[in-house]
Amino acid sequence: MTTWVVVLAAGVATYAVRISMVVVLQERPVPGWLEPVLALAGPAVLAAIVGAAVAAPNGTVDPPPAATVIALGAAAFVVRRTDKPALALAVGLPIAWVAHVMAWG
Amino acid sequence: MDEHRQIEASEVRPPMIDRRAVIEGSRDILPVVVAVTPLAIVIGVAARHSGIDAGAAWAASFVLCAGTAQLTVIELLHAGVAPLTIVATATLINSRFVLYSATLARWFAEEPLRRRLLLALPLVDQLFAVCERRFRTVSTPAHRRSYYLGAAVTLVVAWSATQAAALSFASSLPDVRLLRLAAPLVFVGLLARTVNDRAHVAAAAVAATIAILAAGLPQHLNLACGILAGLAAGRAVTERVR
Repeated sequence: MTTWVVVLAAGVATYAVRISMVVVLQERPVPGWLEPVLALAGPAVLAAIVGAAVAAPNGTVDPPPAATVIALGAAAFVVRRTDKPALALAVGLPIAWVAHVMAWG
Repeated sequence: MDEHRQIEASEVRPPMIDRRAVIEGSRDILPVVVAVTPLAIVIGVAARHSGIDAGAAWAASFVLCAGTAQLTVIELLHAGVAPLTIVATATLINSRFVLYSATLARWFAEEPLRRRLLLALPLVDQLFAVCERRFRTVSTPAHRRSYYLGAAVTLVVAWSATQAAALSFASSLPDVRLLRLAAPLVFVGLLARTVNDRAHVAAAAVAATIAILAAGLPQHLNLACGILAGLAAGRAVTERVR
């Protein structure tokens, strides 16, 4: 019972966060000062998530294995050259696996 | 006459849903769906091993619709932490959604409030990342609405179904550690396409650095700190270029 209450309460609270600016802004346009900030949101959010996931996965700074760095670098390079994000996984995972097997990770 | 008016009205009114845009959104998010599959499996296995109510743990996949927060809720429930603390923790972890909320308000500025409130239901990192890039070049409300729906439904259905499968077959699943790299790989792919100028580079570099260095902060606040620092750095570079 407690589990259900916690899950539902956390869901409601998270939804409140999701609609916060929708409700605050209502029919008004997004303020001028906020537009350029939002344009930077994509790079900032993605980089923060990737950085924390690979270099601090357990709450402490932990340099990632070489296999991870090689795979991420190769994925970024290939996507940058081809403009096809789907290749990140297709290139990165096999490279990570090979590097891991060759004991670089 | 009335019939004429009805025909004219139906010709003028744009369609609610653009089927091609739905398919496009669904297709564009598929690599991300593949990438989050390992995390969904990890969450399903963790929920099964934690011994908490399996139905509630699975319901969190679409009620919360946020992987990190869901995993945290499962771990804290398993550890016997007070319910109020767990809810506050999950909300703090998801505090970055405020930023997404402002962006969603801009994407769907032409939609009625009630519809915008519904569209906010599945708003999460992966959906935001895919739509944020696509919507820079999509101008019609029907296309945006349809693309978003296609991507959101695909993501949430796959996410919940994978967790249900993982919960059911938890004891017979292989080691999924290497697959945990899938999500960072996809995010790096999206990042490589998103970074287009010096301000973007500064925002990304500072956000990643602070998110790593602040890893010791409680409740995954390092993510929020990194994002805010990245935004400030990107803004500073933009101002200097002007």
